[in-house]
Amino acid sequence: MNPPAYKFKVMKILLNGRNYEYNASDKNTLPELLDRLKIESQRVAIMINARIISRENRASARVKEGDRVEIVTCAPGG
Amino acid sequence: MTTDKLTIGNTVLKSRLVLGTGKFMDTRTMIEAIKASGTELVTVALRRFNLENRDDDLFGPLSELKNVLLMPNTSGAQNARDAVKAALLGREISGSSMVKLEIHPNPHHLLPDPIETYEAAVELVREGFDVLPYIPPDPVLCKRLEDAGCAAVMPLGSPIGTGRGIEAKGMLSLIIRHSNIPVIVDAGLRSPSEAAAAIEMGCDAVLVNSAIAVSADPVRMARAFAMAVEAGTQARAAGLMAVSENASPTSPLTSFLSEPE
Repeated sequence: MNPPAYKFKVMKILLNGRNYEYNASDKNTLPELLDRLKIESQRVAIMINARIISRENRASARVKEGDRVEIVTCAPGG
Repeated sequence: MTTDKLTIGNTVLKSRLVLGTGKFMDTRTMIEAIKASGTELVTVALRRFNLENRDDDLFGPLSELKNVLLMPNTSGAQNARDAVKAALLGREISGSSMVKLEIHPNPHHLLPDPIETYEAAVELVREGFDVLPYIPPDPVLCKRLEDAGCAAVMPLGSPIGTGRGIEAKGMLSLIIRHSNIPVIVDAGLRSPSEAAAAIEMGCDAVLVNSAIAVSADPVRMARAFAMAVEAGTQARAAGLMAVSENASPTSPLTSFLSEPE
């Protein structure tokens, strides 16, 4: 008998420079991570492994174990 | 400056005052100062999203403001490569193609690196940005950036946050005389009268941050800058009188007072 297919697994990533663990589905998409973090997608810019994930590519972007994810927003500045 | 409105790349603005959002004591004061200034364009920096304090980012408060565009800057970038990356990230957030290109590697004087700035400008124009580079007041560099396709040039008055006003007035005059794109004085202005003087001498706009943000009453100071920029605009449109070596009386030089009795 085959082992049961697990729907969720523990993912370890580097999020904004810190270790972060969460339960990810097997699809493991970027929107899923943003949902988990309760971040509204339109107010941030995102890089995975130093590559910018544009708004139009976010829905299909995936997060892999060990990825470096940067979530950036706007701050006071002149 | 030929029309009442200011055109920067694809953007048309009624106000000739651009505000920076740094150094304010709190977000509410910043928002009120922006409203009082009448500006339609504010700069913002980028930073990592704060997962512990979600209200920490400016996006929410600034999105309340109607008719105010966000112009992300590239501060923190020490070279052209980092600046291009910052600009691309900023565009993701602002949804606007305007970028304040700033590359100042030395924290002591914060003066722009003209070579890295030029290289980044070329690349960002290619990426479709309206590029507004923060630069030293160098007429030759300004012309090169204009030829590269920048939407405006932003020569500094004096180093960021110093409040020393326009230190190189002669250089700024040359930039204004030869530029076919808007000239925006960025950094160093301290008083509204300096902003008025910059507009009177032909600058298309001024960018002000510290002078408003660190004032004891930022909202009132923002209003004062708005009035000064408006005064400068009106004066420029009206036309300043010529400067003369010789005095010219404004009252009749009547002779009857000296008539003998």
